[in-house]
Amino acid sequence: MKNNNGAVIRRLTGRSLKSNKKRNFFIITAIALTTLLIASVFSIGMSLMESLKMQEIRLMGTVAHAAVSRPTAAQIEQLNRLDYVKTVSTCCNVASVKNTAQMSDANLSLFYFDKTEWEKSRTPAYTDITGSYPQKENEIMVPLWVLERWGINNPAIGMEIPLTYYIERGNTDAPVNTVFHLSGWFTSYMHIRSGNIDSILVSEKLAQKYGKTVETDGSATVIFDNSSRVLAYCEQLKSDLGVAEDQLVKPVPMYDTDTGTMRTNLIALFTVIAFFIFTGYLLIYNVLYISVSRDVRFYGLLKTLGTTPKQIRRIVIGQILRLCLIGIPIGAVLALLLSLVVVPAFLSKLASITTGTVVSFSPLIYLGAALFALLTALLGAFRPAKKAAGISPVEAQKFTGLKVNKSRVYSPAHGKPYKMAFRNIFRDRKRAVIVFLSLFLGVTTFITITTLVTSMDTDNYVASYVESDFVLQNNTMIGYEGETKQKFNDAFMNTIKSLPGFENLRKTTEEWMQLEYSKEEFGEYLADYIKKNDADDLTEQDVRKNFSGIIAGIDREALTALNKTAAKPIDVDAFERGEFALLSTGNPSLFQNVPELTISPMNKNKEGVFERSDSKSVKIPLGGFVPVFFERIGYSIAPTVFISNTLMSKLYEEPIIAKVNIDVAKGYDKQALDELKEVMKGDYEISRASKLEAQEELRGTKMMLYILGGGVALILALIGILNFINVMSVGIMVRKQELATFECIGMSWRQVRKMLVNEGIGYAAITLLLVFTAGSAITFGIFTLFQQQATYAVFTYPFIPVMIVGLAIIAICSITPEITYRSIYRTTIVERLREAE
Amino acid sequence: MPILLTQELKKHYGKEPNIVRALDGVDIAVEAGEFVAVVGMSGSGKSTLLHMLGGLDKPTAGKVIVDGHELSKMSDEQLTVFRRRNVGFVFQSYNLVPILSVYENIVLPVELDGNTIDSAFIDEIIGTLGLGEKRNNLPNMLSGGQQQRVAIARALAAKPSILLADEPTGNLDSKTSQDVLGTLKMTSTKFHQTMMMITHNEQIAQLADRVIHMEDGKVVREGRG
Amino acid sequence: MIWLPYTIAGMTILFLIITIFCCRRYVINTFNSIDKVLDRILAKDKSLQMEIMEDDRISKLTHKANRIVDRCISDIAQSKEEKETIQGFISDMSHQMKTPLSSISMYSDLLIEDKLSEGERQEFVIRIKSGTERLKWMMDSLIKMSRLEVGAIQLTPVQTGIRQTISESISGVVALAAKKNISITVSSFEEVLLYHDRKWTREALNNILENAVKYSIAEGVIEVSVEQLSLYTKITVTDHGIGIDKSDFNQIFKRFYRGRNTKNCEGAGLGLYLSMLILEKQGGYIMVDSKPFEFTSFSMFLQNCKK
Repeated sequence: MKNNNGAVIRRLTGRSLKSNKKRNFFIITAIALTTLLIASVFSIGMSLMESLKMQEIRLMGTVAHAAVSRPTAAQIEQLNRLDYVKTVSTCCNVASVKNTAQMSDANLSLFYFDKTEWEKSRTPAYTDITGSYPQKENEIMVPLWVLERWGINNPAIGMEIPLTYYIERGNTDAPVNTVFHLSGWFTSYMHIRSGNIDSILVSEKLAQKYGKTVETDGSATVIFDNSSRVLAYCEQLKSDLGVAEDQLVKPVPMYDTDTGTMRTNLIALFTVIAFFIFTGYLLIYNVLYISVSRDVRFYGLLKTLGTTPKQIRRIVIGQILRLCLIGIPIGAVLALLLSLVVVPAFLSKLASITTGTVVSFSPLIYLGAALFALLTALLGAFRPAKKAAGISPVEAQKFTGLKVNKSRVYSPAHGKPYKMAFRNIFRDRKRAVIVFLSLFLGVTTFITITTLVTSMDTDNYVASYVESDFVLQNNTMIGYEGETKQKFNDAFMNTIKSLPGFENLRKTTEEWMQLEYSKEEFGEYLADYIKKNDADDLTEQDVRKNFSGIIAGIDREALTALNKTAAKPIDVDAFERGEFALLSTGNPSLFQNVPELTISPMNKNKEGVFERSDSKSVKIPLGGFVPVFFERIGYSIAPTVFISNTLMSKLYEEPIIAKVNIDVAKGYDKQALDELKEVMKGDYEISRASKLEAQEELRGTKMMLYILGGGVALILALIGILNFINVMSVGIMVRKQELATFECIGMSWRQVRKMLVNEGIGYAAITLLLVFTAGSAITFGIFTLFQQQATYAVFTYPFIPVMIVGLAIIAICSITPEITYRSIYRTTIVERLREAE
Repeated sequence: MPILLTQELKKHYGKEPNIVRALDGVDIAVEAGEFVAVVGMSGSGKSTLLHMLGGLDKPTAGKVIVDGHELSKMSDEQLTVFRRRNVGFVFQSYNLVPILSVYENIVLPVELDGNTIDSAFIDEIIGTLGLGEKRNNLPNMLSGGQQQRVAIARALAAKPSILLADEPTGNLDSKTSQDVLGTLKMTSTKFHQTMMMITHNEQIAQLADRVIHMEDGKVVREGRG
Repeated sequence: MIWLPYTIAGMTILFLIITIFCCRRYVINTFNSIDKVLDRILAKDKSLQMEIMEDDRISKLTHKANRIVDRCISDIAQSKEEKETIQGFISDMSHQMKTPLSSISMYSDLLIEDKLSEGERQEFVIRIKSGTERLKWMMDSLIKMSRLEVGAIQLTPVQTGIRQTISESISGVVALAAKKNISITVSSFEEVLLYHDRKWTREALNNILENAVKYSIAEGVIEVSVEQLSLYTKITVTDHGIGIDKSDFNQIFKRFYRGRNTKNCEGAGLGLYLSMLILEKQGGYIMVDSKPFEFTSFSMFLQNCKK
């Protein structure tokens, strides 16, 4: 049975706390900061992850896990019986909408969802749902982005919308025209992922009218009981349902791959937390250790009087626990404020998240942060408690609060303040190391984070993705259902050239062509193509007849950037002269048997069908390769061919200009943008990207990065500085008597002060030296790692913040001893001499 | 059987050739209820002897047997518990817990063992020692003599069978010394305690039943007076 | 899922059974331990168990049991000691009384012979008388002492002024002092209320004063002073007689002890012992300080009144 002596231990704990107010302040601050750091990292990290997950779900357009195509009624019944299937619902494709010029490359279908599908699978993936699901035959519900494309910016329920659509598959029948009434709208995000494929929702009645059923044109979507086993369940479904040959069991793309990135994220998160715990630990440990060392007499006395080592340990641990009781809530409240104000702002500014943000507000975050902070505090208290418990009563009697290295022999200091200061710094080597480590880690983290943030300048990011000041795109190009138009005609080009500050432009032209196919030359390529695109039904016969693809004309400037990084640069002049062509591929070895290309241009005939004009065929040597999607041009069956614009105009009468890159002189961006906006007004067939607008969009993110990164870095630096202040001020308080002795033997007040200030500056100097050498190396190393992820980052050493922090440290290091010394100098020498006893 | 017994007790500090022999073979025996004074110059090892008897320090060689228990066989934890149940200390430098009030200091050893406070007894001690008015003050508000009286009250509070006093009047003026000494003598007789007191003052030693003289870590003379 | 409630119920019951079992074991163990401790008290067995040094309840219990046994043993030892003291008294008394008794019997024998002159007879009668007186005085002291020591007399200290006690004591020795032409001076002091039994304190002070007179040289001075300390009031009696050696400090308060250089003075070595006993019974004490042939001072410490 335990002894009933808890009360006195609790009282001693409480009293000991009361008598150490300054130390408590440091520890509470350390605990609060640690809690804050961990909670914010949890909060930001989890919010980010949840947002990403939500984003994924929204991009999928459904929360369902898999779909079974064209299920029979029996199969649906069977599905309902399976115990690993949570929800079963159905939907079916009713018709496909005929595209208009406004719609550009959109691909819309009329879809019917049953009640379960709409409520359980779809609603969670959509936002801003207004109105209700169509009930009547002539009602539709439309995604907002589609309404916008149609030019309807202020939709109203019941408004009339005419649509033209095909009922048969493959759009082979005559289109049907119907005027629908709008029953509702919603924001969908699916089109962002799918390349503008989306659904317009219609009623069950319409589906019945055209005889569309789930069994013929629909699918059953299922939600399993466990989202991490989707792939396995899909396989099981296949056997459980006995699916027919032509039926597919398809998982939603989100569950196609395993969650490797998730694991990396978790590892990163825990590394960061471990780091925070370590910095927090350093401070708490040091403050407590110093405090215990100062209280050696107290603990020794308690032991003399019969306080057992266990009880003493309980006193020390009890103190830290009570401080946690104050520190953790403070940190948690600060973190709460942070996550209510800063995190949402941060997430909404983060460009990669386009589908709205989710602020993670789970109490688990705070519980977790509290636990980690508690862990930090207990870790920090463990060794000091052990030390306090192990104090021998006799040693405590002799204790003076000072430690002198016994094993060293010093050369005479000759009373020089700086030499004595240096000696004092290393008087307790372990403590000195902890202070240096703490300061060093704080400052280095600060520099590293600042470096990363400045390097990650969003302007760099924009510059790496947007190659010119303005990029205009012709929306009537390949993939567009309507007629391809020469949007960038001479008149338009002249307008561009007269833009304010216009410097240069380059264009990209795009046409159809056909390549001469032979098995020897392209066999390998074709096999690869079939494999990658699941085009098993493609026969060699088909290909031989129609090995067609895109041919693009580019200006020489387009290649300069590529040449900078290429191992084998392309001879730009020869290319410009039309001496060779380039192929777009990710794997040049597929074309090792292709010495030259035979290109036949294709033009639309009077019926609007592409026809190959063999008379104009040219043979041109293959002179090199460019990456897939070079200049953002896609591919067809044949690989995409790049030739110079000069050659292009020889092959085609008037090659269609797909893209115009415009550069203007510095400072004219804004004017040029305004003018371009004016020119393009109301023309949906041209789209625009501009550096200025992109930078504008990212400005917020940049600020957020600065504030968050800088904030975390500052807190860490603060922890280091707190550690120093504590060590320095306690060091002086303990040496009170010794300093008084110095004064007794004739050291002037000024000299003592100088010695102490030198000591502080010594700490600063050694720390900064470490920071600039080892710290810089660490910073650069971390940056190099980071650059592999964010290639656009440019190493930028943050000179100004580093200088400010350096000066601040020197200032604090020299002011702290000064202030502390002044505070003890108020009493007389005699009093100070006597005090230690 | 003697309550305090040492056999060939040795305590050495440091290493050859700078060895300090604080105790160099001490054999003493103190019977229960006896009041023994240890007299010697500073550095004669008398404080070390007291520390050994109280289990505050471990001997280099030899045995310390208190009430039949050999101290060197105990763990730190056991030694501490043993001390709080059997030994009361009074030091030259008072050694009060600065963060506890006078009353709390006095009852600390009782509370440390989880015993209920015998308030009548504690009140009697406080009354006898004239500390009634200072009951709730903190030690730093007391004079030296008052602090030493608190230390004595603390040593008596748990009714230990052994009282060890190390120069209890060393920091006090002669007037206060007489006060404190009288109290110590009176109370120890009253509660049938074995007392060992270190002093360098022969006049103080007259109150003892027996005086042990020490020099250079050895007992040189022993006897009544 | 049907089995779930049963599992929970089963687990709960199992848990309860284990808990009850553990509690039972615990209570039994505790009682057994207490039983063992009590047995040891009954057997007055203080076996050397390490378990009195653990920070738990049983260990504490054992420790207290040991203390009870200790107390019993020491009580027995004390009463045995008291018995020996009384026996010692009787033998001491008989020994001390031998001298005056034998002289009385010798002089009585001489008187009986009847061949004596009137002068001689007169002298022998006076000698017998003084012997009887001495015997009487000795008897008185011994009776007082034995009663005090054995506890037959209870001192009843009350708060009373010390001035009267001191003056009464001094008047008791004034005659004796006058014989040796010794003057007793009392330095002025403020009247204080002290916690003491006047009758017995007078007795104690009287003994000390008598000693002072006895060991003072003729025409000497005895000083009496009163000094107030915070807990005690010190009454000091200083004479300038032969003094006491430092090594004797510890011995002079012992029963029947007589100083080495006091051969030619009469006394039984009881006065100081009695004084010490009286003071200790009232919560006070006596200390001595001396330098041979310069001064001897006895300080009586009496408790101040509790505030």
